[in-house]
Amino acid sequence: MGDTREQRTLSYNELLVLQSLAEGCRYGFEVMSLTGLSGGTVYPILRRCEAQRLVSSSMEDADDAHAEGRPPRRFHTITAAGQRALGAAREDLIARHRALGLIRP
Amino acid sequence: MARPGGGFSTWVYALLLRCYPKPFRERHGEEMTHVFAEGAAAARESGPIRWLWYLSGALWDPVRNGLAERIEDAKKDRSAGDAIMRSVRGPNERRGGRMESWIGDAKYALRTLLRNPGFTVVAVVTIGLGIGANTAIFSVVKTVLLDPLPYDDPDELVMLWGEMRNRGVTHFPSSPPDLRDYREQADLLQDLEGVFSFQIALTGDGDPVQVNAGSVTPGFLAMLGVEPILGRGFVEEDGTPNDPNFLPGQPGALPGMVLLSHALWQQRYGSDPSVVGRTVELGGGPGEILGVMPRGFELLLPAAAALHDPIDLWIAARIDFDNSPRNNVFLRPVGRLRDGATSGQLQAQVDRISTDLAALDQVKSTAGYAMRVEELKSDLTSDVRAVLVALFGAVVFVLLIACANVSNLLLVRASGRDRELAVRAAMGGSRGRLIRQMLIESGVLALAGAVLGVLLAAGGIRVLLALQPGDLPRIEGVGIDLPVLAFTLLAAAVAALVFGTIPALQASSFELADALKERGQARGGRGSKLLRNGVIIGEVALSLVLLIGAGLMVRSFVELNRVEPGYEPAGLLTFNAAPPFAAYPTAQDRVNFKIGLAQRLETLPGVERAGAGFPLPLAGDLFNGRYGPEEALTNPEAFGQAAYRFIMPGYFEAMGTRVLAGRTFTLADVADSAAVVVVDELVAESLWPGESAIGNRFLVRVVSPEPEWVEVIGVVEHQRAETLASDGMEAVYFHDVYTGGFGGSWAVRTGVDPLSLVPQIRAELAALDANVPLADVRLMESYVDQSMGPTRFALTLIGAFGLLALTLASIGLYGVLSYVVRQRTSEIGVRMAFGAARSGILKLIVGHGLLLSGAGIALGLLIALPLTSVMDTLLVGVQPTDSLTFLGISVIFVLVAALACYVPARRATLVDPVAALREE
Repeated sequence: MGDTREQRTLSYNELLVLQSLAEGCRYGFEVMSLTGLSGGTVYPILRRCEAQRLVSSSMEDADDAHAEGRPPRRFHTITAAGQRALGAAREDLIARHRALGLIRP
Repeated sequence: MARPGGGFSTWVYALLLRCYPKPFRERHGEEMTHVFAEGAAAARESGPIRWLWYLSGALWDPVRNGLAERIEDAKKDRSAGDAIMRSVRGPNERRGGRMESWIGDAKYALRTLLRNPGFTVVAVVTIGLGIGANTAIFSVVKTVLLDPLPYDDPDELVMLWGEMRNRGVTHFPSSPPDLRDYREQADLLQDLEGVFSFQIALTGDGDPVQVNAGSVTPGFLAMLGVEPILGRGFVEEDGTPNDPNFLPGQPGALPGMVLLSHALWQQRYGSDPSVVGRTVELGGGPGEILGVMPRGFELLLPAAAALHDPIDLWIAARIDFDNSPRNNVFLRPVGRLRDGATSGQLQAQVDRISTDLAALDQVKSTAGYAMRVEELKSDLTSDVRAVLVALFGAVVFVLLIACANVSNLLLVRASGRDRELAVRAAMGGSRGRLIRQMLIESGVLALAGAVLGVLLAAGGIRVLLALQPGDLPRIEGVGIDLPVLAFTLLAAAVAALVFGTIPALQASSFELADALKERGQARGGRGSKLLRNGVIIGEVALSLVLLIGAGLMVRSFVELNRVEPGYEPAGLLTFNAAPPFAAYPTAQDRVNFKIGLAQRLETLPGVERAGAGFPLPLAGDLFNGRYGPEEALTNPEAFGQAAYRFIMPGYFEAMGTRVLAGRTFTLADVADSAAVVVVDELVAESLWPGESAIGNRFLVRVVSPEPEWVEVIGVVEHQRAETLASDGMEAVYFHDVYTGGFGGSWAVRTGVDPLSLVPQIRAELAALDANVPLADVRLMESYVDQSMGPTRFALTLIGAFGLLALTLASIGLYGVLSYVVRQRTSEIGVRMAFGAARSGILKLIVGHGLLLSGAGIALGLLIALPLTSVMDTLLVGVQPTDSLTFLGISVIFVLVAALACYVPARRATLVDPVAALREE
């Protein structure tokens, strides 16, 4: 099923999440505050995108987190494949918006 | 995952995260919880509305997305074609074990439900409310009524109550020789022990305090199977009698053998184990501490035993069983049955002994003496059983109504699912499979409702504990435990069957071809209409019954608020300050103490009047005795029973009790201590109907063993003393000095905030005698409030459930009529095309609704008539079949029903005939 993944178009929410990662967000809650999506939406998208290798993630150092008195966070970065998918989706979106007259050329 | 901090909502959120598959949770759970907690904290700072708004969104979020995630996972496991087959045919029809296919059905049900979030939320919340109410009330019923008492073989324990049937006395204490006779002669009893309680000053170690002492025969605690955790329990020698006229703390008396309650041991002695063997001062006499009782041990006896609560220390009663007079009654007998003996057999045996005892004693035989055997547990809960049964009935009704609503929702929804079901049937799904699938859907709904219900119940129990009137034994132990959860599951299962069966049968029995051809209309058949209407009629009937119950409680509460108690509670302070016998050995000493204290108190600014009197109304103490006319000397059956109260001058004035004739006591009455009494209007009316009572003489028995003559100097209004809800016993008031100056309760009438005077009162008391503790400081209003507690409790809960039922029923009515309007759109269109007026259409639909509710109301009235008698003991001044309530509630119901009908009816009048016909 690996082939179908690359071709699958991103959903609107996935686009928002990837775009926020591209803009420099790293943590789930940053994505949430920037996109206005709920945690229940953001985290599954992150996981799905990671499974599709559009996003990679790693845990922050546990000692640092505990020093700040919170659980360690997982930070995410967008991969090259993610950038490509995002680029394609963004163009697609812009084209549609233009066609719909939401954006004037 | 570690349980995060941040309180209950975070805990719930972490719980709800379980909707996600495990790998997901392990990966993101902790972080999500943290983010939630921070968000919740931030929202909380912006005020409660923002907080609730945040919670409602954030808590729903994991449920919706978590379940979606699980479905996503499940889908991934299968090939695309497989998934399509599945969604058409239902899961796992070909393969897999039984269990797997059930799980598959459940997953399919979940998916179907999530596709209709609106329907699902309404159904789950409706069922959740019903189950939550049931869970909360059941947890109370279980703890209070069902759990065994915390003693050895508690089912063997019995209470023995004296009765004087000719005088309406049902809970008379026993004298020591009577107790001994029953103990020796009733061989169906292993043990028979006695208990009574009093308040006494504990002095010597630190400030003097007044403690509640439980005085027991030495074998009492061992009979219950309770051992001290420290030191030793009572043995026979600890009860070796004192003087025949033993008074607690009398000089020269043997020391009182004492077991401390765990709480007193902690508070006063700092849990010091070396207290065992220490000598303390009790009421001025010596006491020896033998040991400490276990934490949480309490003596659970019915309120009629009039024991002080809580008991701070236990004393082995030094009673001379052979020489105590038989008319000195103060012991509450508690016994343990022999193995295999029943209380019925014991009653027969006790009856024979009682007959023998009555034959020896003229008073007993003429008063209709008997001894009644009651099983301790059922006796303990007899006062509260009615309210709990009524509440349990109410919540069962609420759940049934909730089920009716969901059932109707399912019926309506089923009509929209014809095609889905038809496709499944066409592809070989058997009728049984379809029914099963739909029942599993109901099960999933009910389970979700149960989860919500448990959360609601957890909150509801806190509210219950805050509302409870204080007369529910063991209420502090109420909580959600395994048996309660088991009950919740059972309730959910029953609910699923109740609301799921009819729609499942209905939906699976349809004409396949019709359904495939048509849309929407196939379900409009006569059978299903009857069903829907039947469900609504039942629903209206049940809610009417509940609302009538609520109406009766409202009337009771209004009556209770209107009661003239015979005193003026506002501005009245009460407390206890009793002269100890050791320091004040004679009656005159004790009365002088009270005169002195009253004079000191009345010099305080803000104090208008102060008077001692025992027992105070509503404070829980009862003391009663005989009274009768001269005829009673020759015919003892002429004796009645009256409450005896022992009062000082100033008592009536402080209480605000009106004097109807004659005068009240003065200090001059103290000097000559003549046998003069004040009686209340009930005594006056019963002895001298229609005449003046002043100057008349009658018989009482208070200081001597034989009837004695007293003269009436005044008549006062009747004081409601046992409870606010009923008149209670007539009362005779004795001058305190005449009866020995016992008791030490005080009534202080103030012109300022009564509690602001407490420090000055304490100072005046200390100045008079530093060894006398000031205790039980309470506003009379709080006693009145407490007395209204059970009524208020029942009113609040039955009222809340009644309103919930009314709301659910009107939603149900509204839903069904909306559906009817949708079904009949074309018919309405035709009617209007042929010139029917809009008002006619309105009448048609409202008429339909009112017909349904009318039938429901009629049925409800029929059900309510016999059922409300359950509430008889909860009602005050109103009959269970009060016609005003029945009528009023019915009218309210018609109005609400009319409103619920009006909205869909109005929509019907807006039908555009042309559009409606074109659709046809």
